Parts: sequence; structure tokens; C-alpha cells
Amino acid sequence: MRKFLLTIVATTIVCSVWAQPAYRDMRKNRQCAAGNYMAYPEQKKYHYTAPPKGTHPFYISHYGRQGSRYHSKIRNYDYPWTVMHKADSLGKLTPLGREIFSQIGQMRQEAAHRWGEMSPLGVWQQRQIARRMMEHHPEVFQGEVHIDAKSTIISRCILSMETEVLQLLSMNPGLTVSHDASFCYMDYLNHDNNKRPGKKMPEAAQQALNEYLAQHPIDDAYLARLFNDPEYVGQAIKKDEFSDLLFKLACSQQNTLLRDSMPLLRIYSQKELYNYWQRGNAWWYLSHGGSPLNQGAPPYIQHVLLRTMIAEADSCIALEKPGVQLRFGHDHVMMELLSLLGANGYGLYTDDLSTLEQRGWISYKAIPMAANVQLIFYRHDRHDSDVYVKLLLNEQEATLPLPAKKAPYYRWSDFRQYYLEKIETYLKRQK
Amino acid sequence: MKRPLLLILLMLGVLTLGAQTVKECIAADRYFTASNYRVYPSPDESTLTPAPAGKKAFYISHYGRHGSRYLSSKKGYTIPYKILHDADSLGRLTTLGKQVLQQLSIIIADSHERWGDLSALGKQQHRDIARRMMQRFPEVFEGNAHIQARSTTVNRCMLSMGSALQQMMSINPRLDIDMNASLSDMWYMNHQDKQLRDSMMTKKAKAAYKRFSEDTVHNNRLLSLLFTDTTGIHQHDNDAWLNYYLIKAELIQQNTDMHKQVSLSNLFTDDDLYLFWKRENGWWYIMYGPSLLNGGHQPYTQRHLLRKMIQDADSCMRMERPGAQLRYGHETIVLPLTCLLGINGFDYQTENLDEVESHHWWASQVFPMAANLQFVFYRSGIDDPDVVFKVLLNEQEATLPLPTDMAPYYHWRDFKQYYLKKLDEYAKLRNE
Repeated sequence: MRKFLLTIVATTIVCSVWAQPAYRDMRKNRQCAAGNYMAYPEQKKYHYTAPPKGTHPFYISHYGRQGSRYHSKIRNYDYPWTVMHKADSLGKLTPLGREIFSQIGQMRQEAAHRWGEMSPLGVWQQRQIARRMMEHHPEVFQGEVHIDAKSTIISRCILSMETEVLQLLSMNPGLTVSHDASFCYMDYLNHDNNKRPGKKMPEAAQQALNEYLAQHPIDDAYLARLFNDPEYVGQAIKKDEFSDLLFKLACSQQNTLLRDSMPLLRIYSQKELYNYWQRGNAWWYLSHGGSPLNQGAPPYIQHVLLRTMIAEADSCIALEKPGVQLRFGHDHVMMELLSLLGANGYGLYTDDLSTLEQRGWISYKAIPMAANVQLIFYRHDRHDSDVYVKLLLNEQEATLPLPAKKAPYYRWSDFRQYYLEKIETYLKRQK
Repeated sequence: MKRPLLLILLMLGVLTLGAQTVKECIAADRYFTASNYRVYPSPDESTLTPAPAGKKAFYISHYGRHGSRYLSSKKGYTIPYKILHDADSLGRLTTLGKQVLQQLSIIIADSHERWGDLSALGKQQHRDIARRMMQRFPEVFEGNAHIQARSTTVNRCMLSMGSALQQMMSINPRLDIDMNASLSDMWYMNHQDKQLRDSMMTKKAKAAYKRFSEDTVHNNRLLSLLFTDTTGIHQHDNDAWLNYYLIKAELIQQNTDMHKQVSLSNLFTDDDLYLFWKRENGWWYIMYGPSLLNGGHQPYTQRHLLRKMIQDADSCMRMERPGAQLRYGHETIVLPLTCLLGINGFDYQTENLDEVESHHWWASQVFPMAANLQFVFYRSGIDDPDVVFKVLLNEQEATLPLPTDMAPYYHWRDFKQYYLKKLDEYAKLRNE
């Protein structure tokens, strides 16, 4: 009987964990809770499926996010620091609270006058990504190959671009490089930034988000771990703002020089972390994914980017040695692009926010710092009209909603037809 | 006998160079007049003095301006465009006037969404400068030499830095490069001094500049080329603005491929360009030079940069192989820094703007696109107590207002003593 009961309990746990892959991830690695603030998770080994027989990679088309960075706003640092500074001066911090306060002070100092800038870890990430790109696809980079690199006009993106390019040059100094960052590329590298729904959600989406957040309220229990006087907390601290900014700081720590010290994420219980992440994930989905609640619109913002990538690939395929096209931009662009592509199920279309996680719509797997999409093109030779493409999401093979004899390799002709039609259909409907 | 003759010939050569006038420079290259839009004049690569006996180059400290760029602000084109367009709608343009209007619209389209961007030529300039730096001072860049590169947070500066570093990496892929562009470095890379900025154009300076320039701003010959009827064109000084902006529009095209397609060159005589240059030179002298019209302290905007360069050099000298420190910024830094250092006599001070030109204070020589200062340091070994260096202004050996027994080389200890004292005196004045 006991055994039977145990089995039931175990099965229940397994089932619920199975339905909660993010919860499981966070138990292994708290950093996942950071969502888009997660530092790029490097794999120890990258496993790739053998390409169709006789083909080899000849061209890479890439879009990447900047490496680990600091928060863009001073307030992200100053507000939590000020609250804790005041509490400390009144003796209202617990020993843990004092330790956290000291860490926040150091983070604030490190980020001073570097708001929004790439951190040293970010530079390291970009170097490794470029190094592996070349190591994993040496054929693309052999000889006097051309690297075409473009960036949005944001300095952390420009530095990401320059870092990757320098890494590639250090491995093959014969590469020729063109590099640029200009407003004139913004139309596809960061299309319609000011008009995007994330800045102002449709009413239905906002309402659904509000309901979801109400069902997943922030648990104030963590406050008692930091402050020793509940009455003081009640009077002196605006809980919503403090909770939000403290959690964001805790998430961001993994991107800084303090990433190896006592993690701020330890303030929270597993359940609390998971809850924060769920709230953020729902926001990301409604802002940048395609849902009936936002008319499925956000992913299509990236139709200009995807069309550009397709057109450029078409003209590169005509070349003997097309080399590599690198593009550097931002997390929301990548999220929308992945949703538009439907890569790894990110094309999920639902109004049920409670199913996002179990259906694999998980922010940190898509858009950690330095996130990147690489389309790797394969063929026999230049005269081969049967070109294959595979998509690497953060350097790991991803699936696309396309027919394939040998996934993750897809026919380029299928790829372009499917997405060009998809975009066309959407744009027609808009008219 | 041969030697003295050679010497005399050499001296004559130097003298004629020194005696060159701005008008002669213009006759040789009319785009000398472009002032801060001037395209970087690539140096003669063979004219460096050999290293002092027993010493080797071991460290370079650099500050450079971004390379050739597009016009930064649309209004430089739209103001003349509007003046011509208005006249055209009233049927008052000549055929040439209509052509100029059309050319302006082509130029505007070319610059669309590219305002202030580094051009292809700008990238090439930085590649070339980096290549020459490595070729001329190979000892500094050997093996896994360390290169520290910093840029202001402005795109064109970051891309200039990237261009130079890419070139260096392709020559020596083992270089250990540390690159950044951060707000946290702006206190020395692009220091903004409110007190000095607010005192650039004093009443006295304004009056002097007005007197200096007012006879040169109008161009009736240009008006007769462009307009069949000049009614109303003098309103709001529109004729002067048209002259000013059309010259600038012509000059800046040299920095992009646009000059291959359009040219406003035939609108202007060398004399028109000379007058433009003269006004600009006077303006830069007041705003960023050591002019006495506003107290003579403007170059001290770069005091933090100079102090930082001295400190950096001092700490680098303690290293076996310090490599190079590269810094990328703006002409509004390079010019006052050159004046603060008194390089090539650019610390010349006067109240009389008419004297500026005749004393060879020609900003065009300091701050073309991709302008740069390189301090190249030499020693016999890490324990050498007598570190010497030379300054290259736009890759040409330059002089400092310091005594030396080995020009163009100077003793680092003399340099430090002289400039730290100078900086300390100003700090006292500012209570810093």
C-alpha cells in the first residue's frame, strides 16, 4: 500500500514537472528565471545532425542580440539601493538584507555610467559565438571569404558586431569585412520600433495579461527575509515597484562582474522565482508572440527582416563563396522573428496563457543575452539547385513548420515559398 | 662641399614649405579650404626620422578623429534647397540654378537616413592609418601585443575604431584587443566643459568676428549665376546663407562617393573658397583655439584628456610590452588638444583675427576627417630612465614648445614636468 501510494505521489510529481519544463529548468539553474536577462547559456558540447549526403555549408545568414549588458535605466539601480540604504540606516535590515544591500551597492557602482552597455561577459559571449560559428562550419570561412556585418545604431550592438568580426579575423586574417551601423538599416534590423504592440498592447491582450498577473500575484514573503520589521516594510516600502526592480536586479547580476558572488536570486524560493518568470513570460508572449489576443500581429512586424534575409540569401546563393551575413539587434526583434518562423514551436497561437510553458513557449530558451539565429545553407556545389537550410537557435538545431525528409534540414525552396506566402497572405489581409 | 650644399638646399626646401600661403595651398588643392570637412591628406610614408641611437619604439598613445562622414544635419542641405526651391516656384532661377536645385535633391536623397554616418572613404582612411602605424612601428605590435581601444559612444567613432582594429587584426591576428565605447570614459574622451563652452563667444569675440567676416559672406557673382531675379533674396541674409551652405555642400561631397556624381564646384572660384576658409578658420580659432578674445583658455577643455594620457603613459612604461592605446573621437577634441600642447605653434595667441592666418594657425592642417595625434615612445629597455617620444600630427613629425637636444624627439620627463605644471596652474585658477 505504501509503495502504491509512493508511486502515485511520484507519478503526480513527475507529471506536474513534465508539464512544467521551466520549473524544472529553474530547479537546475536559477538563472533561467531571468528570462531575457539570462546570460547566454553555453553548452559543453554542440551536437549536430549530419547534413544531406554530399552537401556542405556554404553560407550563413545570422541575426543576433547584443551580449550581456547592464540595465539601461539608472532607476533600476538607484531605487532598490535607496530603499535598502534607508532601511539599513534605520537598522531595519536582516543579516541577509545587509548582504544583499552590499551586493546591490557593488552592482550599482559597476553599472555607473555604463547603463545599457555591454558588460565584459557580453564581449566574451560574442567571441565564443563567433569562434564556434567558424569552428562548426569551417567550409564557409575558408580562404578570402567576405563577411558582411550590419548593426542597429545602438552602441552595445555595434560593439557586439565588432567583437565578432575581430574574433573571426583572428582565426582567418584573410577575410574581407564590410561593417556598418546606420539608421538606414533600421527598417529591417529594428522595424517599426515605436509602433510595436509591446509598447501599447491591444485592450484584449492587456486585459488577459492583467487577469493572468492577478492569478499569479507576487508573494511578499521574501520581504521578511530582507527586512526585520514588518511594520516598517508596510509603511516605508512601495511593494510593487520595489519587488519589480529588485527582481530585475537579481536577474541582471549574472551579466556582471559580480556573477560569481552570492546570487541575489537566492533571496527567492523556487516557487517565487517560477512565479516571477511566469509573469514575465506571459508579458513577452502577448507583446511579441502571436496570439488571438493581439490579432497575431507582433511576429509580422519582422516581415521586413525575414523578407530581407530571404532576398539576400537568394542573391548570395548565386555566388561561388557568399561567406557570412551578420546582423546585430535586439531581443524583441528576435522573439518576433522566431514567432514568425514558428521555430521550435514559437509560432504558438493561443489565448490560453496557462499553456505557454507546457507548449514550449519559453522566453529564456529563445532570447537570453547574445541570443542568435543562424541559418546555415548547404549544397553540393554552386550548380546545385537543391539547396538546404537549417536553423540554429542559440547554436542548437531547431525545427521549422515545414515538410522535411531529414529535419532539421529543410529545402530552401520550401522555406522561401512558405514564408513569402505567409507574409503575402498576412499583408493582403491587412489591406 | 657637397654636404653644405645639400644642407642649404634642404633648408631652402623647409623654408619654402614654411613660407607657403593658404592661397598656394588652395592652388595645389582647392579642397584644403574644406576646414573640418577636409578629406584626410595621406602622408608621404617615407619621411620619418630614424629612432634615436640605441632606443626602440615600445608604446603608442593615440587620439584620432572619426573618418570621412556624411553631413550630420539635414538642415545644411534643406536650407539652401528651400531658398532655391522658393525662387524656382516663382520662376526666378537660371538654368544653372535649376541644375543646382536638382543636384541638391540628389545629394539629399543620397544622405537620407545616413546623417553623420562614417562613409566608405572614412573606413578606408582608418584602415590606412592603422596599417601605416603598424608598418612604421612594428616593434610595438609584435606577437600578442595588447591594444586598448576606446571610442566615444558616437557611431562613426565606433566604426572608425572597428575599421582600424580590423586592419590591425588582419596584419597580426595574434593581437590581444580590448575594445570599448562607454559613457564612463566620456569624462576624458569627449569632455564637455560648461563654463568654457559658455564663454566661447564673448561680446568682444562676437564683435571681432563680425568685423572680421562681414565683408566676406555675400557673393553677388554666385547670385547672378543662380537667379534671373534676386528680388527678396537678401531678406534674412538668405543670400549669405545660400553661399555658405552651398560651399559646405560642395566641400563635404568629397567625403562620400557623391562627388563622382554631382559637383557644385563650378559655382565657386578659388577666391570664394578662400574667403569661406578664412571665416571658418577665424571661427574655429575663437571657439576651440587659444584666442585671447575670450580669455585664451578654450584649449583647457582637454585638460582631463591630457592628464589621462600622461598617467596612462606613465603606467604603461612600467610594462615590458605595453602595446598601443587608441582613442577615437572628434575634431572638437583634436583641435583644442593640439592647441593645449602647442604642437607646431598652434598655441599662438592673439586678439587680432587678421593675424591668425599669417601665423600659420590653419585649422585645416590639424583636423581633417580622420585627423590624429600619435605619441610614439622609445627606450633602450624597461630600465631606461630616459624615455623619449615624438608626436605625429596626422602622421607627420611635429614640434612641441619644449627644448630638446634631439628633435623631433623629446624627453618624457621634460614633457611631463612642463605640461603637468601647466595643467596644475589652470586647475588652481578653476579651483579644481
